[in-house]
Amino acid sequence: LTSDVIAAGVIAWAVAAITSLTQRGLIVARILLFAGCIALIAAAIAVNR
Amino acid sequence: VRFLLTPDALWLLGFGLAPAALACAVCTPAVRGQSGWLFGAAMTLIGTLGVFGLQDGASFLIAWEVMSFGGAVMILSEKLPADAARPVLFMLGLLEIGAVALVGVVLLLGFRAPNFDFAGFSITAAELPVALTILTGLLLIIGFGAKLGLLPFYEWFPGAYSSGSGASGALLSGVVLNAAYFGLSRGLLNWLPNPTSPGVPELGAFLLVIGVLTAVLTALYAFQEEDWRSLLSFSSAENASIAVAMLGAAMMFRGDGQQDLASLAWMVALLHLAGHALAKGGLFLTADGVYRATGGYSIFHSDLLRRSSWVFGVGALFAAMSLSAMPPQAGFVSEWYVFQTVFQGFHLSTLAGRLTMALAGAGLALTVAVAFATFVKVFGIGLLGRSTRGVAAVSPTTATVVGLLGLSLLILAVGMPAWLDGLRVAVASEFGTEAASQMHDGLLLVPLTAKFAFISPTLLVIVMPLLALIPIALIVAHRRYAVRYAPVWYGGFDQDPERASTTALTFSNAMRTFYSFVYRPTEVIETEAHGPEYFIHRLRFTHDVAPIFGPYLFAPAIRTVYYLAQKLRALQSGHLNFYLALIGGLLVIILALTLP
Repeated sequence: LTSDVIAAGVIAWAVAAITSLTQRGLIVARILLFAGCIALIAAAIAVNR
Repeated sequence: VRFLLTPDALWLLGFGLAPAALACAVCTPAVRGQSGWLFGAAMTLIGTLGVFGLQDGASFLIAWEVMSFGGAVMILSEKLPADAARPVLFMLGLLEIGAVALVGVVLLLGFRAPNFDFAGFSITAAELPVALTILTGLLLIIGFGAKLGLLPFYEWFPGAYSSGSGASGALLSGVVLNAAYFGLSRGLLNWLPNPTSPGVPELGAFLLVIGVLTAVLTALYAFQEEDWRSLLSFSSAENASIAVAMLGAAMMFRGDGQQDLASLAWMVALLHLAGHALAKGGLFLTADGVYRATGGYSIFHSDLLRRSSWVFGVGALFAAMSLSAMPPQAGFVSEWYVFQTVFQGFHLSTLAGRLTMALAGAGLALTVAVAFATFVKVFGIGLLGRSTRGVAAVSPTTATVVGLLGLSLLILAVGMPAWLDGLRVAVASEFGTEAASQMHDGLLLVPLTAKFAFISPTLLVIVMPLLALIPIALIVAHRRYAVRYAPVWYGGFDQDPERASTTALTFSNAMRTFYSFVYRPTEVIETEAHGPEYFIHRLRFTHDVAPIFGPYLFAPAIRTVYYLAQKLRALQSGHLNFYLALIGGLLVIILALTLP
């Protein structure tokens, strides 16, 4: 599950990088960057517990 | 490509991502360039994850470059100052020196192995002669030190950071700085040969000295800054240096066979970077709040604390308290552990080791004292300073994110016994010790044993409000005396509290005078007068402090590059025959090298 969460976070960042290149995708990019960070923080807490 | 996130990587990544997440949510305050900034932030985060998790030299180097590229894209796309390109180019230039050093490490350790997988690095390193071991260690220090801001590399920090926004700073000083530290720690502890091998403990002592010297210098320079971002950037280099000094101490203890103390020093560095990432992220986002409210990043009396939400004030106060090591915040806990670790230097078997630790303690004490004054200046003048100018309040969004980061610092400090248990697996796999559980005795935090010293931020949170009852009781007891208000003497001038108050420049004047041999301050006053010189029309005052390495190290290097570039322009003659001759010459050389 943790590795899936990490993979989801990376995909979110990669999609954010692509959507940030369009003016209409800025909000989506911000949400995806935030969500990717939260996913990885959750994974970090899960592993270190 | 092998990918693995170790527990210590996840620790540093997790704490670095907390301010990064909020910075991405708030986004850059720059009106134009949000698109480029978000792209740069995504590149930085993807590169950072690669640095933490990739397990072979080639892909690691690519991730390292993507991370640096993302940082440059973030700053350049914001276009906050008109001349951002030059400091960013300087940053990239110094980071490339580091990248070349890292390529050298990968080639040195991966050359004899079947591939560039990190698993084979330590096996190769074990066969290296002492000179090459030391060279590898130095290349690692240069490579990662360029990003961490070890001397002389910290001189790219103020220029580059002050060309970008606080949101960029929150990423660079948080998750990126943590990634660079992780790389250095992994390289020095896992790739170099046996810790007791000749040269390895000496590298640790060198790292401790470099870390402490950098911390002292960057703390002194941070104190003189009047821009939120450049001050905070120097402070980032200072805190990274403290963590690096602890890594050096860990290498020294491990080389001496003191595994418990080595693991204590290593964990202290991780705790320090965790608290630093949260606190620095909070203050960088505070700086963005200041920019949005005042239109600039200068530290001046903005009256923002009174005008803005209390959540903003509490968050910024907690962050400043942590960076100035005030109890009960996370920075206080980690710096208390830093000193406890250095005090344990008497356990070392060599006099040189003991002496190095003692001197490091003195240097760190100076650093902490200057850092305290620095954050009194930042908070006292930048936020608390009263002003009659019509400045807008900080937006509720900024207030919320700063408040969240401040609260997370308190949670980290108060719950430290629980957080330490989170590092148990990491320290057990790295050193094979149970230091994580030995660093707390119930709610008390102890440096492996309760006989030496102890603190408890958890209990302090309960006791400190109780201590506040004493002044409250005194106020209540003296209520029968009427408060008398009287005008203050302004030296014969009209009352103007704003004009008479301490500025960022005057606050740091005493230190600038006392440490003038370091700062070499310059002050230029130009006056313009209409007619007689007594009737001054305009007075222009500029001041600065001189960098140490810029004029003697970087300026000659830049001149050399320009000189070589001018000479090599001859190769770009534009004549087709000349280019064909060059290609022909290269073919002859290749044939000569390969045919025998």
